[in-house]
Amino acid sequence: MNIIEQLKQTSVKGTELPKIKPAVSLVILVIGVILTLAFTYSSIRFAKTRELANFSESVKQTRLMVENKFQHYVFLLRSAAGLFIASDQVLPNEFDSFIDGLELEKNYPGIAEIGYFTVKDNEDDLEIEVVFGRAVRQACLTARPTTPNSSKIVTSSNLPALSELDQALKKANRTGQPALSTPINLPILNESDNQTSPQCQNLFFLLLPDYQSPASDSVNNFDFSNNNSEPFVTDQVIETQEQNNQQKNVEGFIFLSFQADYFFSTEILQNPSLPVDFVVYQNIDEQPLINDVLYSSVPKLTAQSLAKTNAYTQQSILQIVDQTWQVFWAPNDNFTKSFERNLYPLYLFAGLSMSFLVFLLSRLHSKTLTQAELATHDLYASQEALKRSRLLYQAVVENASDLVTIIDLVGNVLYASPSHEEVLGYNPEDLANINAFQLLHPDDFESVRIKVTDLAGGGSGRAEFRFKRKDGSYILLEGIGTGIVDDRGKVGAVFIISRDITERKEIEKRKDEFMTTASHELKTPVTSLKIYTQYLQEYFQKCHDPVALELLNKMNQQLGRLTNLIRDLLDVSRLEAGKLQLRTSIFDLTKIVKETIAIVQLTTEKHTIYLTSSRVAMVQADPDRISQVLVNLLTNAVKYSPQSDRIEVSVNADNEQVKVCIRDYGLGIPKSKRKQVFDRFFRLNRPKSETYAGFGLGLYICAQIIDRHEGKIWVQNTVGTGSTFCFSLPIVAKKRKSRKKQNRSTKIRQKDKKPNKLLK
Amino acid sequence: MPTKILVADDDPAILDCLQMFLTAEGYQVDCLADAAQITTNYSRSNLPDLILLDIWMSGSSGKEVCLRLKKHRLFKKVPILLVSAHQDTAKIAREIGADGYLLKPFDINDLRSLVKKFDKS
Repeated sequence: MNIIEQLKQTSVKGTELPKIKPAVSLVILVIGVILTLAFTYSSIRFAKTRELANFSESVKQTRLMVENKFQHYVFLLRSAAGLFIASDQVLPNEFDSFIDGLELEKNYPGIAEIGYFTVKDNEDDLEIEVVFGRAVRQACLTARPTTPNSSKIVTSSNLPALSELDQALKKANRTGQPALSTPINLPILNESDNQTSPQCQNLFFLLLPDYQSPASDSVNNFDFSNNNSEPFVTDQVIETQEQNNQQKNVEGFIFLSFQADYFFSTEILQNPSLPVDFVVYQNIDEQPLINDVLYSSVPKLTAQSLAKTNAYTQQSILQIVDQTWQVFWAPNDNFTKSFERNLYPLYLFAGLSMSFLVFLLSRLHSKTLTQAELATHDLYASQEALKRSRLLYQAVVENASDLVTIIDLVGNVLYASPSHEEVLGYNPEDLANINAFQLLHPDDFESVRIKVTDLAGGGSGRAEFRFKRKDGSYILLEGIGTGIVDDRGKVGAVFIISRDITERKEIEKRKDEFMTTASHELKTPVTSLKIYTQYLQEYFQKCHDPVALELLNKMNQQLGRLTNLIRDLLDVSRLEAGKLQLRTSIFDLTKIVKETIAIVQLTTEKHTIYLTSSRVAMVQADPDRISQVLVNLLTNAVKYSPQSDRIEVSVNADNEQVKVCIRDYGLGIPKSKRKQVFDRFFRLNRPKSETYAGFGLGLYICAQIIDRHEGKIWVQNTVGTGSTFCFSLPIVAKKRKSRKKQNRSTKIRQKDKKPNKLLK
Repeated sequence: MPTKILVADDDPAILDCLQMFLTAEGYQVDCLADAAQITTNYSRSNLPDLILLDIWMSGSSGKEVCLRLKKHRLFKKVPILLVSAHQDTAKIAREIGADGYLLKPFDINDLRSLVKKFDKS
């Protein structure tokens, strides 16, 4: 493919970077958080449901446990009744052995007392005689004060709460079924000191009537049938039963007592890990009061803590024999511990952490990705740039008409551009096996070899040399070589750009020839004109014809100007070509200035040229050229100050340089133009009437000449009208002066100082 | 017998004015447009006393003519003045062994004084 097309295709910019979106990571984070919250929320919801179910189950089980216990009690009561039914007369030791066989403490925990009592209703006093009694715990009933007749008789008078028991007695008698009394608070009386001790609180009596034959005496004393204070149960079956019962006589009651505290607390003791707390109330009002509490599994229950029990609080009815109790249930510490509720914060924390971790990872990944992409991009871009630069160099080098060559320091060709084939005839394969030095013209061989060797120190150099073409002819080349520095800072090769300058040289030569011819051709008619004119001048001088003489003088002056113009043209062309040769010698500048002033003074009658000079100023210069500069400056001073009559020249020398200034009182030069006056063909724009003849080359030549002498030329600031032109030249040290004087050629040239003289 | 001066220049105007001036000065003037003809046109009997030679002429080079004359049996004693517009006339004059030079355009006083030095009489 064409290199230029390839260049157009490669881009300096490289590829566009894909844009990174940090929002994606943020979305991941948000989604993670939302999922976590949703999961935690649903977990909580699910767990709450499960907890509720578990709670209800716990409540149910606990309730069953309590009810079962009562069933046990009832069974016990019935079995005891069986004992009494089976035998008309139960002996005390029989009862004792029966009770012993029961192992009450073990099998029926919570029972306070079990026994058999008979009841006598004497008008306003109820009298209970405990026939048998076994106290397991605090035996409140059997511990009652006794009458003299019977050791175990309790009456209404010595037991004020007995009337409360009466209700249960009546109910049991009426139904023939076990009946539970309301809780009775009985003070315990010690037989020893008759002192009241802590009460038997919430003591319950479970009663079962024992019927005897109608012949028994005691039945008359206790006839329930007359008592209509209690409403009868409407159930017909029970009525029938009651009618049957009425035919029987109640002989006594088998009783069983227990305290609510013990009854329930044994349950708690037996199952210390019960997950629920509960509070048992006697009544079933909607708002139970703390005073109604029969039992609380919470040791120190207050109204506040009751109200504050947590959300799982459940309410249920406990049916005990014929009593109804209300129970409030609440989960306790055991319950709370058994659930994963504690894990919820953990879930939340873990979920959020995971989300954040994912977010961080995604950001990190994105960042890493970005860096990787950047690196890739950079790599790609640099490759592109490299390719581009390679193509660019290739395009420049291979399409260059100049010869691009790289050789080592001994002349072996390392690289040769394709242009070699066109210019020299060698193709690259030929050049690969060629030592470039061998193809140099024998006259140029040594100088070029030395110049190449010099490049080993770095830098660059220029040389003109003839080079052998493939057809054997020589071509004139101009080469510019640059040392190529390797990694170690050593020049291992030389990069050379060379071009065919045959044509250029030819043109230069023709131009020079033309200039020489032109100046010759121009000078020839001037020469003859001058001879004629001067001959005529002499002629008319002899004839004493002042008018003609005056005219011829002016003609001669103009011829002089024409000569100078022709000389200027030639000088400029030589200066341009760098061919102006200086014939330097050492001389006193002041002397030259004096001589030149004398010559120029002759050309003007109006002006007077004044010279102030300090001392002898020896310079090494071309006296003809310096004189030319002085003539130029003085002539200008005369020419451009037509209104004044004074020109001042000063020569000032110090140890290093000599300064010559020419001051006129003419038109002057604007400050802005002072540097331009030394430019080639520069002319001040003046009104047409004041236009002066000339090419505008004089000051340019002056500047060039002074420059070649390593001096300076400038327009100095002038006070008042006119202008001051100055130039300076370096002073020659005495040693140099003496050495130069020994130079023979210098002596000869000093002789040649004045033209038109004999050589010998 | 007046001093005989040979002027060799390819420019007729130069020949004309120099002949006029030098004749007026009292010299015998011979003009020659082609310097190459000097040796053929002159013999021992009519040898010129002075030659004014232009070094740049069409036809033959003044340099070569000068060098040839300086080796010539008859002419080597004849002084030669180079008269030329060439910038390097002085240098060339030294190189080819000319006896003097004049740079065109010149003042007639310079010419007069220079010629006078070679005037035999």
